[in-house]
Amino acid sequence: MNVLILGAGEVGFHIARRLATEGNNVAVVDQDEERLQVISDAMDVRTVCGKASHPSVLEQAGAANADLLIAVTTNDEINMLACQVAHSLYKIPTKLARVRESGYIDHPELFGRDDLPIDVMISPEGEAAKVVMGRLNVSSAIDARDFFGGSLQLVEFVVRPKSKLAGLSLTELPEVMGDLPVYVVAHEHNGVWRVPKGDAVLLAQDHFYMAVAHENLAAAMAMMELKSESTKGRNIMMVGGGHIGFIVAKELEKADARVKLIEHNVHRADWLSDKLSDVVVIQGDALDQKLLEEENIDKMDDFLALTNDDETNILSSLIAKRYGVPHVVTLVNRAVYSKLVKQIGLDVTVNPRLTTVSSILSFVRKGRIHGMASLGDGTLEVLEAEALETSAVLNKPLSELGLPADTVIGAIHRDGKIIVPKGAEEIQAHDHVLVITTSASVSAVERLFEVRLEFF
Amino acid sequence: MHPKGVIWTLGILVVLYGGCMLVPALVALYYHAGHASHFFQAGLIVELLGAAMIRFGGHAPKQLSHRDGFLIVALAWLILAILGAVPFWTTGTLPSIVDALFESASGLTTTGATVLTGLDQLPHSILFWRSMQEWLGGMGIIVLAVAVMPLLGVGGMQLFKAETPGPVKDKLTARVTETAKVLWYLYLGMTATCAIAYAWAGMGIFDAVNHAMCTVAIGGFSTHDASFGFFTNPVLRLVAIMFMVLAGISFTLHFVAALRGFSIRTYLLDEEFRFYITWISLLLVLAFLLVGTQGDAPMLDIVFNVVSVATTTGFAVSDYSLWHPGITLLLLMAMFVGGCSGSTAGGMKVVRIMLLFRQGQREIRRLVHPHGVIHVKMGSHRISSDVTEALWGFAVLFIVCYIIIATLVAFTGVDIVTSFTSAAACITNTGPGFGQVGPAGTYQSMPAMAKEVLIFGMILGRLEIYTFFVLLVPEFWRD
Repeated sequence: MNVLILGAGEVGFHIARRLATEGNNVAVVDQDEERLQVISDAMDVRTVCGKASHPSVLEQAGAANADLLIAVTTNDEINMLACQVAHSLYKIPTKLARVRESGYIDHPELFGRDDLPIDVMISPEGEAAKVVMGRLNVSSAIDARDFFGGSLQLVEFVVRPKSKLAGLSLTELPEVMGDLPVYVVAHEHNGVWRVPKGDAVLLAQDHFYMAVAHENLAAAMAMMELKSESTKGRNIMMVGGGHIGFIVAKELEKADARVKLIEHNVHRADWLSDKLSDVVVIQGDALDQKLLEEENIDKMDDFLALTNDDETNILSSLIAKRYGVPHVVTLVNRAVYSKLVKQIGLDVTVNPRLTTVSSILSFVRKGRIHGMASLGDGTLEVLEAEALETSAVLNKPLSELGLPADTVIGAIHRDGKIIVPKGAEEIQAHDHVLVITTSASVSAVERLFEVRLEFF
Repeated sequence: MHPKGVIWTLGILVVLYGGCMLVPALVALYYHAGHASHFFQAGLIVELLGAAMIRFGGHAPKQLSHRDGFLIVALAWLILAILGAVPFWTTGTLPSIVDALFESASGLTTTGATVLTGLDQLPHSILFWRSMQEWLGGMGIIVLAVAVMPLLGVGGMQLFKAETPGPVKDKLTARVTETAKVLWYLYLGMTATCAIAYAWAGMGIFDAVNHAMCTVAIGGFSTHDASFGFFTNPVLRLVAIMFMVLAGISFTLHFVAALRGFSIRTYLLDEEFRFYITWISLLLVLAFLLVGTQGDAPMLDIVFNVVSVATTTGFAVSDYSLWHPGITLLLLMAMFVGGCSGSTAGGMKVVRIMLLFRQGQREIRRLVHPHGVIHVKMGSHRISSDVTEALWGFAVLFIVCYIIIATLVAFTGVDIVTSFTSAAACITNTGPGFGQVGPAGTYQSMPAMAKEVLIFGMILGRLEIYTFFVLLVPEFWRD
């Protein structure tokens, strides 16, 4: 597949790398020569320097033969214009664009074949905010993702030293969970993520992802003696009122939480105070201990560090931990920090880049792959796929499917019901299937769900 | 400054005003009730003066400055108040010049404080002229409040310059004259509706027209000594209550609602309107608790009197100064709050009180969150600190002026209750106060000196303080 990526920022970089390692022909366009140099040093892609929306630049980057355009420059207007140019001049079939201004996003009628030809819009801030909200809603969990339109959740937990789970192997799990249909699909021990076998043992401080139907989540958490509560009436302190912070504050305001939002920039704080009515906007430094004490940081139920600056986020989260805030969410942009942060005791992190990359990738996948997400540090992938009539996976017990190594079927969504599969279960046509695999085996899994051509 | 332009503009107003004096003359001819010639003469004098001013001014001013605006507004009220006194004096109705001026100023500022007794015996022409003055004054106030003051930025009213509050997003129409024309139709329509409603509910035609003019102007002059108490029909009283409340709402809001087929939603979206209705409801509940439970007065009397004072109209159906003493202070407070901005009502205006209240709330919240960024808001709209500062300035000046006027009235030997309530009733343009000047009494017995001070108070209140005081600053007159 020939892919054209506009914008060599963090998001562009990681998509380019992923697509290139999966064997696609990738061209990256950016105005910043140095940035392009970094990319061409790191991976096998073509780079073109120039203005991303300019026809001659697109031409040079091979737009005429491109199958897919991903416009992720920092400028909304350039992204949209580039899609238009690519549509009108080069007939590129699929176009993705990053659009962050809600002024555009709120008008879906702007986009379509006859209007602005953008097939999929991506808002990194919106994605990250969604993830932050997801984590707030399941506050004692570390991560929570929705699949099958929200009816199934993958929830990440950490095994606390005195929890009932500590020391259990996965086959012994029913001792705690009873008959509740849950499935542990990913397991982390000492920083290594794996798709676990039945003999894997959950040790203290291990992380694991559990697939559970939405209606069973509260019961499952009760079994593990964890709390699940709504955000209503919770005391939440947020640091950073940028794009992500604003979206989250707005959502929390709707959910009736008591929110304090600390923003450093005076003008931005003014602006936030105008736009938010119930949120208390505080102008000041998130690392100012006096300010935090003044605002009763020790009485907070949640602390969200969402500034653009990783260091500020990490440090303020540590301060919040020290004051005994039970639930801390930290936004971390740089991959290096993601691992580091776990070692210093911050377990809930959101990586806006990773979430954007995975949502872009899920659209890029061909065939019947509907959703895709990365788990842990990105070594594991979750795919939501539909089994077609001609697919190779039908009507065979799961145990005989010949799935690639380290791959499991986490859940099956059939006629609106969630089935947590056993080895004898068979996949039927039109089932939606949740597959957990390693990034190396993604293409093998994709092939399994592709339509077999000989039937036509 | 353009002195000739100012004089020309005032000349136009004077000529129009003189023309209006011919209406009572026609009324006199129709009812064969005398004074027709006096009104023709007075009209002629005023017309000649106006013509002279226009002649002196030369031609329509091409451009008027900010300061010319202030000067025109202040002088217009002063000159018209003086000229309006001419018929009262020449007809011999009020032989004292101060009394004639008081009656005229009270009418034009829609205060409704009177020095006349025996209204029922007065000729129709005089009664009609009083009502008409209130009506003209009311019109002037609306144009002033909606079209002129926002441009001059008086007392925080710049708030409404570019964006009027609530659902009203844009200025009514592009130009001040266009705006004035639209408001004129709206005002005229409301008066006509009110008059028809009164006539339908059983008032005589003459009374209906007079009372309609005084109701919509939130003036409060009546054609009877017993004020609205003359009419015992409860339907009439209900009609009056309804139109007082309606006239106390911003005419800008009426205009926008009219465009949307008078939808209730448009009104409910307006914060000032909601505050105004809540405030009146609160007053009614308190009044019921104080008076209604004692059985001192019928319910409808309580509603009528409270609404009349709260909208600064000044009609009365019974002597509320005899009620529970708590009512006195409650109503005094209601006078100060007044009606909505951009209406014919007086007082400090609901929107100012609302914003001052929010400003106070903000200060308290800032004590809790010393680093908090907390704005005063109306709807989702931030009120800039320029505006809140102007509001504070206005509130302080208003209260200081009130205290000075009350003290000056007390200096003339009037008792404390009368001096303090008459000052309040005049500066808020309500009309009746308490004590000697209560709803059953008149200002007749006040010393001439006190009347002069109160005339000043009425005009000051009507011009929203700033517009007058700006003329006293030396910088104003420097080029």
